[in-house]
Amino acid sequence: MKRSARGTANLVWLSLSVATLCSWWMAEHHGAGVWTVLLVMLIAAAKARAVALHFMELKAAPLIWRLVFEGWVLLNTAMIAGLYWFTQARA
Amino acid sequence: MASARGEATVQTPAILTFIVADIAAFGLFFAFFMIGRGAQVALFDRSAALLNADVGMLNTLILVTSSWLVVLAVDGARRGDRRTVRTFLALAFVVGAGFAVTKVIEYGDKVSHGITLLTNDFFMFYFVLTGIHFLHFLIGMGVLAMLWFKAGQEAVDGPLFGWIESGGLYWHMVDLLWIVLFPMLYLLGRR
Amino acid sequence: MQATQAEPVHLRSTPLARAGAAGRNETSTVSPFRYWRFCAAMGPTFLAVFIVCWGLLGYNIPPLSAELTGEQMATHFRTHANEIRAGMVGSMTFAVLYMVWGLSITKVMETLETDGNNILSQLQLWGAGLTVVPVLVSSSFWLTGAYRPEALDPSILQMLYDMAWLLIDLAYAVTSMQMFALGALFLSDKRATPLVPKWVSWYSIWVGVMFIIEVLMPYFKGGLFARNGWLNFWIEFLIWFFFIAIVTLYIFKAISRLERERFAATAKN
Repeated sequence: MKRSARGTANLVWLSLSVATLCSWWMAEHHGAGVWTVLLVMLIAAAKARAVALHFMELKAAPLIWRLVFEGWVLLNTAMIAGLYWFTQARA
Repeated sequence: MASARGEATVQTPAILTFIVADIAAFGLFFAFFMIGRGAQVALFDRSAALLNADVGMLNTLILVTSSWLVVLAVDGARRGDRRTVRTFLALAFVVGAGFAVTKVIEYGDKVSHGITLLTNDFFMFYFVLTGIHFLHFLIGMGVLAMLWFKAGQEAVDGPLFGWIESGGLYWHMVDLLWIVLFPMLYLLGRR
Repeated sequence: MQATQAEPVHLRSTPLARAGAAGRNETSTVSPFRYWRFCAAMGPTFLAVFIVCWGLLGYNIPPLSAELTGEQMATHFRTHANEIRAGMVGSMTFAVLYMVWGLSITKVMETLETDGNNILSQLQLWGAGLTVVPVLVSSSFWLTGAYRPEALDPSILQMLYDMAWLLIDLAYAVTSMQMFALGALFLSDKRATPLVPKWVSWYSIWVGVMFIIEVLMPYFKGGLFARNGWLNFWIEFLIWFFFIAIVTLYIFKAISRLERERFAATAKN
C-alpha cells in the first residue's frame, strides 16, 4: 500500500467515526421519524461499503467479489429500511 | 489484491468463501428479525428502547478503529516491517478488547434486570444476534493474538502474509456485521 | 533407488512409499488406492439413505413441532408405527457409512501429512466415526417409540421423540470437529494447486462454526431455533448435506490426481 493509500485508510477511518457519531446524534436528538431512521440506514450502508471497498481492499479485487459485497450491503440495508418503512407506513 | 513485496496480483484469499457464507447467513438472520419485528412492532420498539444506544455507538467506534489498525498492520506486513505489524496488531487487540468489556457490561446489566433471550421475541433476537456476533468477535481476537505471536517468529512478508491478510479480512467482517447490526437493533425504534 | 526429483513429496514417507519401495522390482498390480473410491462413495450413499429412511419414512423432514401435545405425539407414533420402524431400521443399519466415508477423506489427508504428524487426519476420522453415534442412538429412540406405541403413555412417547432430537442436534460438536480437522489440513497444503481447493476447506470450517447455533435448540419449542425451525433444522441440515456432497466430489478428484501422480512417479522408475 503506497503512502497515498495509507492516507486513504486514515481518511476512511475518520469518516467512519464521524458518520457513526452523526447517526447516533441524529437518532438520539432527532428521534421522531421515519426519515431519520432511513437516513441512519443510508449512512450505515455507506459505512459498510467503505469497510468493504477500502479496508477489505475489494476495490482492487476481481469485480465479482466487489459485486458480491456491494450487493450484500445494498440488499440488507434496503431490506431493513424497506421493511421498517413498510411497518411505519402501516402504523 | 496486491500481495507482499508488491508482487503481481495473486488470487483473492480463499477465506472470502467463509466470509461470504457468513455474511449471507447473517443477512438471513437480519431478514428474520425484520419479519419478526413486522408482526410485533410495538413490542420490538418498546424493547429496543431498553437498549443503550450510547454503548452500541461506542462499540461501533471500537470495531471501526480496531479494523483500521489492522489495515495498518497488513500494510506493514506487505512492506516486511515486523515491528509495525506487531505494534498495530497489539493495538487492534487492545482496542478490540473494549468491545468485550462493553458487551459483558451490557449483557450483565440486562440479565440483572431479569431480561434474557427468553423474555420476548425482540430479546431473543437481540441476545442471539449479538451473541453469535460476539462469538465471531472472540474468534477474531484469538486470530489477532495468534498472528501477533507468529509475527514474532516468522517473516511477515513470507507465507505468514497470507494469514495476516486473511485474518485482517475476517476482522473487517466482524466490523462490517456490527455496522449493520447496530442501527437495526438499537436505532429503529427511536422516537 | 533414489527418489527422483519428479516424485511428489507425499509419496516418500507414507505407507504408500514404503510399499512401493518394498516391491520396487516387481510390478505390483494392486493399487494402493484400492477401496478409497468405494469408501468415498459411501458419503452420498449415507446421505441418500438418511434422507429416505430417517427423513421421509421417519417423519423427520421436517421434525414434528415441539409444541405438539403428548396426545398428538402418541397419535403420530401409533399411526405411523410401521413406516417409522422401517425408516429407523434403515437409518441405523446405514449410519456406519458416515465413518466409512470419513476414512476416504483421512486417506487423502494422510498423503499430505508427510512429516508423520497425523493428528488432523485422525481427528477427522474420529469426528466422522463419532457422528455415527448420535444418528444410530437417536434412531433407536424413535424406533422404541414405534415398537409398542399403544402400550406407552403419551408423555413417554413425547419424551422419546424429544430425547432423540436433543441428542442428534446437540451432538453437533463431533461433526464440527471433523469439519475443522478436514479444513485445517487441506488449508495447510503448500502445493501450487492444492489437492483440495481452499474454498472447500473454508466452507467446511464455516459449517462447523454454524453448527454451534444448535446450542439454542433446547431453549425453544417454536420459532427459528426450535428443532423444526428455519435455522436449526432447514439451514443447519441443508448445509451439512451440501458439505457431504461437495467434499465427496473433491475427494474423488483428489484420488484421481494422486493416482496420476503416482503413476507418473513409478513410470519414471
